[in-house]
Amino acid sequence: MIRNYLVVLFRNLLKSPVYSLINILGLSAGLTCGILILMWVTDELDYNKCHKNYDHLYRVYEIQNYSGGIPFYTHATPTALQPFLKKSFPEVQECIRFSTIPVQMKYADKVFKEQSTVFADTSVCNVLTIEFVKGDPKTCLKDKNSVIMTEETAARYFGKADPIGRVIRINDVVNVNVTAIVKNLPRNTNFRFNCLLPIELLKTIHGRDLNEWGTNFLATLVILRDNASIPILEQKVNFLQKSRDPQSRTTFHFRPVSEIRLKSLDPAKTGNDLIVKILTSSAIFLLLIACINFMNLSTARSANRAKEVGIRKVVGSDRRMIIIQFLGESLIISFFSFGFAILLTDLFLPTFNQLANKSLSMSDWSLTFTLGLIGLTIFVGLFSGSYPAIYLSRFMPSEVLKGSLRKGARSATFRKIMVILQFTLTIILMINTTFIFKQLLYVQNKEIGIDRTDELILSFDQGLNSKFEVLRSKLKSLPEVSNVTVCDNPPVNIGNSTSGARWDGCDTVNGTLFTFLIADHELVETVKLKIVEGRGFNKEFPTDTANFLVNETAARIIGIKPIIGANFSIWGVRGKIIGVVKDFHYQHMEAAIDPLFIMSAYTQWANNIVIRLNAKDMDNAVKKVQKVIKEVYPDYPFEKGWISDVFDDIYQTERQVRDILKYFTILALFISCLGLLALSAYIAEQQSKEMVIRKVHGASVFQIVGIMIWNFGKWVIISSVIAVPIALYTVSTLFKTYAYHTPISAWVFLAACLGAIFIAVLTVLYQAVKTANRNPVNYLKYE
Amino acid sequence: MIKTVNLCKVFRTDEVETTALNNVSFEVKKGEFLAVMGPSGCGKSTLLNILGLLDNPSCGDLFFLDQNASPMSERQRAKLRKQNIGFVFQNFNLIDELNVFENVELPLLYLGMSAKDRKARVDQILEQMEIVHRKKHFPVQLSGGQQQRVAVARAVVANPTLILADEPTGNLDSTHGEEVMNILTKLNEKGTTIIMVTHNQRDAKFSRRIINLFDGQIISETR
Repeated sequence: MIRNYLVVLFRNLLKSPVYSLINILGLSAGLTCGILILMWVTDELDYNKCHKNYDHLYRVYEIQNYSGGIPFYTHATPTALQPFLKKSFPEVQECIRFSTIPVQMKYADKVFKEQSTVFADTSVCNVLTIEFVKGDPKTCLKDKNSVIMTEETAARYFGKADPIGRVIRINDVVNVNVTAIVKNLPRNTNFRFNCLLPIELLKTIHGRDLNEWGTNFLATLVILRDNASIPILEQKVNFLQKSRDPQSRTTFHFRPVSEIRLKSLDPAKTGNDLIVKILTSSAIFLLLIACINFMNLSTARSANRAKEVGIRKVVGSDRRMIIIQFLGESLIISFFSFGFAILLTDLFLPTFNQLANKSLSMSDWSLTFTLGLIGLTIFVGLFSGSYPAIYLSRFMPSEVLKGSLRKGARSATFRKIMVILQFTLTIILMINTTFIFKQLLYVQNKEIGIDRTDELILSFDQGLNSKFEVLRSKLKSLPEVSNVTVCDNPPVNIGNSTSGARWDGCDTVNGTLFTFLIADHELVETVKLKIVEGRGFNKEFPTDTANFLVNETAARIIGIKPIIGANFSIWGVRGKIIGVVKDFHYQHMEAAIDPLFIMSAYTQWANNIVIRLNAKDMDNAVKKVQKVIKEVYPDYPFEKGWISDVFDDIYQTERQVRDILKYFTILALFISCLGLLALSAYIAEQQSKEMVIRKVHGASVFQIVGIMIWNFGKWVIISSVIAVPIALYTVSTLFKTYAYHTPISAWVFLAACLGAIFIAVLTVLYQAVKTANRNPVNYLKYE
Repeated sequence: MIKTVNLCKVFRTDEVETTALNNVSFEVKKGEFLAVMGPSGCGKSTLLNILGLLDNPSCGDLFFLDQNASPMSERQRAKLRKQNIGFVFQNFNLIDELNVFENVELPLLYLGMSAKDRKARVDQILEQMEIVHRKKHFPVQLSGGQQQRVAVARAVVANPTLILADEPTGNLDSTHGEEVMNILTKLNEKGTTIIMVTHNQRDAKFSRRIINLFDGQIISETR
């Protein structure tokens, strides 16, 4: 019997190759997108699972409470927390500090800028799973002048030579020995490194106090024992913390590492889980559209199988066996499509990896994942085949064998519903993708309050020292250089904050959280900040090293009038507010602009140089800058970076989602139109008699084309009406957490609907014109 | 073998109700050759579909091999049908995607016969129908007469006790039509009960009993 079913299936597929191809291609495209997104989602969900202590591994975070009542959430913790937790709480089995700070490394005549250098406690190997290739995990960090490198990093430095024992100089301050080589850490962990140094070197290299509560900058990871209760532990920790520092407004909490990747730390914000939902929904939409195509085409062409169903019932089949036959056919086509989808996945994976900034590989598929894909294929097969199987099995031999079944008539309502559903999903995708495009354009074009064009940013990992003024002088002598400033953060992405600022009448109990930027007197001219009140720093006024600029939001919060001349102090620097800058965006536009102050004291902490260029030939200008830097800092490994790139990187996730959705939307439209094309061809064939008779009675070609186009066009119009409120809801939800977003304009909805209608009309136009031009004589002769 | 008691069949749409059969009662004995005649639309095919367990009556009872088939489920009717009834249609109704062998084999598949037994039986029947030389051909490659011979082969391959023929010569010329009627006659002589719907007087003469239908009712019977 199975052989009989298979024979009939394959002969039917070959009999109508175009429809068969449309079905298989459509399902394959849907399955391919499903596979790619499943790989992506699995990678996201598997974040940090490479560590065997995953189920007991937690990252400490702080909730800081300030004046205004809005809590501030941060993963950054102080150096003193680790010894505090390890010593005082038996629930804590192990605890380490983990801090990523770029360094400059020198070996022989090579100089490298290592962005992914981590400083960690010696028991890091007990907490994280690190696979050793050479060296002993128990002793490799015993000596504080040690470094662990990954294989890839070691190859860059030493080629094929044995790295163990080789000496590397860090930041021109200290020498370390390579004591171990480890395998490259997987990409899907928050705790990666190229080089790992003992935490003690933070003091040696950066002068950090390793037992200090005042500055938060590193991660604290803990392994908790099996019987540890998080709420009770948190209570105990915060009780002891309060006893140690009654003034503290900070509480400590433990967060399982399983949550870090997807959920935002601040419950008021969205995390990566929103992206997971967006992309998963899009993949489901696409798969649904492909399945609907299959259902539609199968039922529309059901008349071709009606006779067979009738005969089978006559010779002894019951309805159940007919259903099994057609479900089986659908399953086989689904698996065939799955095979093709595997090939397409292999073909498109590199492009997808580029779009998503991932390194996904089919060789990483686990047994569970593969079984999951097979399950998905089975579901697709059964779902797509369900309605056609039920519909076809209903045919009565008495109707079909006499030829009294009107072709395509009975499934017309179902087809309409399916086409409407298909285009509804497609239009929703189009609208959402357009708004993501719009948001990125909005971000690109929005006046952010500073000029980010033609500015180089160079990051120094060691002290700039007194040679900086020499450098500035030489750079400014170049005609291509307008301004040179130094700052501790790129002005477009400032991450530092403090609650220690004071002014007359401020809330000294709760404090106010300020973002801060340390920069010198050339900052305003270099990045073109707008001064709305007062003035910028002036190097002619030595007292300006103790003075401050604030942004408009800060001025409002401080509330002193006039603000210029108001006393302001932080970290022992007591000065005055000499200027107010217009609010500018210094972080992701998801966040509102918070109060900010700029100070020019402590520029020795500032290790970023921003150079404003003014040249027609930028490449030549950059070369000249590089030459000057080489003269002053010969060991500096020059890496060109633009402020505009730093800004763009903030929106990397949005760009990835936009690019993936762009292709999904195009594919959804393509599959929908492919289905519509096939359906319109089939229905045009069925409607030939009607159209020809209309023509005989005087209808023009234009009128007949109009009727046929309207027959399909009205379904897409209905889809538009359904899609718009749903899309409005999804877009509103997406932008809910953005403090600044592109307006939710009506024209986008209208354009998407009109676009879909236009494309649908174009799709059926060929068939409509062909039918309208049919010669009635040729048709009626064979009636 | 078959007995109908006050059989009726009503077709209903939203607006129209059509009574295709109205109080039809008759019996068919085993080994009979019965012709059902009447003008177009009198209910002949409807009656044949009900006798062949392809459709349920709206009222009345149908007894098949002493079993009341009227309340049977679709599955029970399918089982009874495949074990006992063969069909021959006016427009042959072969599956275009299957070749001659595969078409004739179909009823045996539903009876669960083994591949070896199926092959032997199908080859035997095709020999009898003198169409074995075309067993790998598809229906589109056969003439009308050949197609009907294949259809008859399919109808008899499972050794049914009853053959229902709905205008079996309707699409054939006289020569091929007579061929088919001779085959049916031979089958009847071997003991197979045949009920044939026709409005061809010449074909009706092959039968031994004729029932005349008009507007869904039996108006006369001749032997």
